[in-house]
Amino acid sequence: MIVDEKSVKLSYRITYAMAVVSCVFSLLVGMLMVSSLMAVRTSSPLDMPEIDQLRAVLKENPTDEILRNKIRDLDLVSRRFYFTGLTSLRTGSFLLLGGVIIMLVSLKTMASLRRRLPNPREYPASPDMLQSAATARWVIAGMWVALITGAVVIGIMERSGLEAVVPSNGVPIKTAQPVTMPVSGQMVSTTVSPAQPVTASPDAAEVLKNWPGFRGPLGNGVSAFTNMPVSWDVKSGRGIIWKVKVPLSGMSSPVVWGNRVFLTGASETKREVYCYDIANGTLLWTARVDAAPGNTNKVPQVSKDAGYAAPTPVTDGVNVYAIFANGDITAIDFCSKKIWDVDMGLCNNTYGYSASLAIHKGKIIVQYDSVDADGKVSEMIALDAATGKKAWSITRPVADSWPSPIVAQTGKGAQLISMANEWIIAYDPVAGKELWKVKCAGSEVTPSPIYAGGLVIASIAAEQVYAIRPDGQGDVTKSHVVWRSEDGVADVSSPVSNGELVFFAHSGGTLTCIEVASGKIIWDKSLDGEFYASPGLAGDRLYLVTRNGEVFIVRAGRKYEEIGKTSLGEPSDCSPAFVDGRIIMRGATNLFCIGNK
Amino acid sequence: MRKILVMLFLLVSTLTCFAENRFPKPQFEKGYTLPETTAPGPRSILLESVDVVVLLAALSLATWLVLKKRSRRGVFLLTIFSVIYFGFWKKGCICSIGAIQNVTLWLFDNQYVLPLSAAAYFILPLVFALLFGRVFCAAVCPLGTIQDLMILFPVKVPSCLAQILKLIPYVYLGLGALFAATGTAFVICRLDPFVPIFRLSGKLPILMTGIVLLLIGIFVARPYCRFLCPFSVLLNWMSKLSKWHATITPDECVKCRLCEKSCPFDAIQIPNINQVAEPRISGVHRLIMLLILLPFLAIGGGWAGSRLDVVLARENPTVRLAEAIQQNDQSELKLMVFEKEAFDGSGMKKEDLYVQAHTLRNKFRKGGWFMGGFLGVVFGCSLIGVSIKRTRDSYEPDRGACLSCARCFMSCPKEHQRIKKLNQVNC
Repeated sequence: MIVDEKSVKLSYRITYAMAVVSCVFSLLVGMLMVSSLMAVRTSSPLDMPEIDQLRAVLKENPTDEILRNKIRDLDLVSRRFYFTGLTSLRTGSFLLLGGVIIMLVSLKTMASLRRRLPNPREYPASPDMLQSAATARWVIAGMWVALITGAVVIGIMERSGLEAVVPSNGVPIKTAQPVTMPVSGQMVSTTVSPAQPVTASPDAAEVLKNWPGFRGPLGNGVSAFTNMPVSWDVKSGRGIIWKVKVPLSGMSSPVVWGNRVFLTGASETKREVYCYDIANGTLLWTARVDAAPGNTNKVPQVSKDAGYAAPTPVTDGVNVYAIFANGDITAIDFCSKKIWDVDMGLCNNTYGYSASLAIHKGKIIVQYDSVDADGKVSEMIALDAATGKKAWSITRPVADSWPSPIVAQTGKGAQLISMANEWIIAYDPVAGKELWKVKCAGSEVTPSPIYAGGLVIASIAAEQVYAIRPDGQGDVTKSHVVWRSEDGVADVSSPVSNGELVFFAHSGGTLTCIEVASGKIIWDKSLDGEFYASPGLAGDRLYLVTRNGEVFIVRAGRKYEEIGKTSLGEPSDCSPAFVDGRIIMRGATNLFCIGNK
Repeated sequence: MRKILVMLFLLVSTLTCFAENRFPKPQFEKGYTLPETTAPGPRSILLESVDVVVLLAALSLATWLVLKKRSRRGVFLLTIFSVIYFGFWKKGCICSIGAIQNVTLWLFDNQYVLPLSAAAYFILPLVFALLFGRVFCAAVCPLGTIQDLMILFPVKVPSCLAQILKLIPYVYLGLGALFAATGTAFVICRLDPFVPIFRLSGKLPILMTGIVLLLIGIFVARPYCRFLCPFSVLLNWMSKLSKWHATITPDECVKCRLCEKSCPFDAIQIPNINQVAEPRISGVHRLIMLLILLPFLAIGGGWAGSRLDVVLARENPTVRLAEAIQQNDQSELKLMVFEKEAFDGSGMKKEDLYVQAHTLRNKFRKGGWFMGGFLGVVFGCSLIGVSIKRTRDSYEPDRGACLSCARCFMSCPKEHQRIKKLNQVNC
């Protein structure tokens, strides 16, 4: 027993000595590390005033080789000093760790050698728990009051200056400042001239200044601008502001917002959204649209005339929304950042999905008409523009179709008007409820409807033109069809109207003018070309693009009058976009901006 | 001083001018191109699976050592292994505490893919705590085990102070979850005080915090685990419901009081059967009042939390940048110069940035309601908890606070008897 005590004492002394030595060692290493750390922190090789001074001198004497070498030597020394310091810090860390471990082991051993056995007589058997509980309640309540008070005081004191520029409605106060745009994936390059302010919900005037979707701000092919060019020459470049090759082909038409032109292109495996600078045609960015979550990557069956990127994108000035033949719909902001993407499922469509998107009050509207296969039914779907989540959907008693829906501001409020095989249907675009419908015939319905002169005008291929009063309810086939016409029925391109007259361009080359109010044919003219692209109207000028790229400019009047005829120099099936003196047109391979330079 | 040091090195370098340069001299005129910045790839699935298997094995071993073997020595050895493997080898990442944020972000951001290891590191310790108590804290958590090794002269924290400090993890959990849910930052990882020690490098303030906590841990056992760790909140809840929790005695308690001071974490509850009881009616009245108060605490907390939207949102880099740009424009300041430069280069418009910042602040406002409401409920439940008297006639571990470290086992004379019998059987 005596021997045990002695050995314990000896062990204690040894461990005590070890603890002291390791403690001193650790302290020394720690102090050295601190001094080394200070030296490293104050000697960053990237922040050497001496080198900066010498560099300034070198700028004035760029041929001074001695000075150049001096800078290099100094740079080398400073780097060496810095990295040597880092290495010594790392070595010191290991030494310190080792010292601390030995110190800990020694101290633990000491503690266990001097462990005292518990002696319950030294402390009270049962502390007053009632008193403890009462104290605990006061402590908890006090802490709660302190926390709440602190939070409220901090909340009152700290207000954000952002409220001055972003009020509570989330819409920023507009400031027009130049922004720098990435060019083809590079982050610095072109400065875009003053950008349009982005607003969460652009006002009507803002929309009219742009060309935000298929067939413009109202979906009827009419531009608010009248200052459009009437002649140009692609070969000599006269009147061509720029012309750029589009990476992937597509039948979609360009849309314009502010200084940006958006376009889509796709192949069997690739889908892309392009953003061009309207000033010079620079491709600001390309957004690759990968398969949306849930997409099975099945390749849709499409015809050559439809392709994989037939629907035109739409923009609300904040994001651009695009849909492709494989059913992927995506939202991309103006700086190419993907906001959301949704897989709508593969559309069973004979020639390939072609309906362009419409937009109304923060909802993206998709006319998803499909032949009845695999249980899929035709639907009109509204997606929330901010999230891509389904806002509403309604099934449609129609087969697959190719027209695009429009949102018309009628006397009865906004109506979402769609047409397809057998039915022209209007919906409430906010609630997604059916308002009225008109029975029609036709098998392959392609032109989109328009709203003009208080009537919805729909051209059903191989049947008739319908003019409908949009103030009915339910099936209004017998009550609200103001007139029908078998003359001028357009089969692919959509009609355009100035409110008094409506013009139809047939794929066979016939241009027909009908009076809106009566449905009476005013004139028709056979032109040399085939029309797939929908015509546009700027002021009193009709712009008609033939399939081989000829452009007819015709007066929109009661008599046929050709104002001009020119060419793109390549085929085109896409509808032109008109913005303030410029026409943006897509050919088979190029995108053109036409206007005065 | 710096000049002197540089001159000193210049002198040394001239003495060793024949030695080969360690760093090649930059040749600016020869078309030198900067190497591309690379980011480390994600950990391979195989290694992630290995991490999960090791965690599972360590948890199982800890459970066996605590519940079946009742071996403090075994727990201590496993503690050393965990410090080495989960701490110094794996550099403290991924850890279960940080995994809270991965899971939170996964719940709120459908674009975020939750890594297998993060999910396992979050769920496994909770499942084990639900079944066996906090065996994870006992010998597996690297943050806990490194502190455990520092316990030398533990002292009892005054109960008033302990009551206050015990509520901090709830606040930390609420804030950590809020920042993760809004995609702002993984603040729990960023402020992890022990990771710089495991990595032998890191930000000085965080490193110093870790060292200070370890030094405090010499006297106040495991201060981070008890008074800071946000994961301990969840483990505490699970452990309270645990089916097979460790007991101080392997047999019937003889109330010898020998274990009373054996727990460095003050997690032993003493018998209260002989205490003077409060009149039942006053206890019931208080309980009813507290139950009525509970929803008001939650609403008040939610409202106060929502008031912090501006302050909390500033942790988000987008909001910070938006505010800096706005201030720069207003007063010609030059805040966040580099970030501003990068922003200008991105082509994004200020209005877009402001809208983003505004949206984020709204998220913080909503999140503040949830966080404050949660804290209100926690404080309310704490008030109720200390007002309810549960009768105990033996020494028991506080199931929520007990870290299953097995220190109290050897204080029990019944444990000594059990070991003696075991030895006899083995002989």
